[in-house]
Amino acid sequence: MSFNNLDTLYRQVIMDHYKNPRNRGTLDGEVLTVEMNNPTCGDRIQLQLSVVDDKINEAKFVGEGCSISMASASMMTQVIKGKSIEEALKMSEAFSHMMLGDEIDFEKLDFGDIAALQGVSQFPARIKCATLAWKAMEKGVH
Amino acid sequence: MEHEQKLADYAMEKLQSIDGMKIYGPKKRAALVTFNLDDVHPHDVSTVLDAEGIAIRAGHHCAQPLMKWLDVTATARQVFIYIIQKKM
Repeated sequence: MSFNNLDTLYRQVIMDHYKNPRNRGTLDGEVLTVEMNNPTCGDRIQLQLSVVDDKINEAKFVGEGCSISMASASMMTQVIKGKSIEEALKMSEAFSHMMLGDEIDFEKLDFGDIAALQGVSQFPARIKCATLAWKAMEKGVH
Repeated sequence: MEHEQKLADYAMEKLQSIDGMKIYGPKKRAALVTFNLDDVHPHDVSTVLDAEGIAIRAGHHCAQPLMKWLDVTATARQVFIYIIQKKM
């Protein structure tokens, strides 16, 4: 493994989401709240979704973990806002494929900054960090 | 055992000279060192060290109550065993 690979893992946009997370916080009112943690490594996320008529109007998270897990949560909350539950679940499935190294159509998916996480697929030990927020979202809407 | 202890002492000395380094545990210790570097999460530390051929363990170490007591989410830990060599 080289430092070149590390550059693909720690892209600037990822570090920016880690240092300045978007949608960090909590929601009031009638919201879905889901907690998820990764007991072996200690990453933890609380995700809150405001869902009206099968549409995700708001998404916020709090949690603690490594740069990959927190950046992934930040990016996810950005892109699922305004999406239907079905669309969000499709995105989650596509994200899992991306983590397996499969080619996916970013533009069609409206993936925003998420493309920057592509490099994680080369680090098997870190994939579970990147998928934590998505798993929480899936658990929340199911 | 002497080899491992020497490595641990050497690592302690070097780690302590790094800015933002926090080392946990007593001065007199077994051949291991547990640390955190600034606000860098231990998983990120371990991935970067791995790229340099250094294997450490990062996370809870199955010791969540201790992490809570230390008031950290996770730590990085290097254990020294007989096969580990000092890089020349």
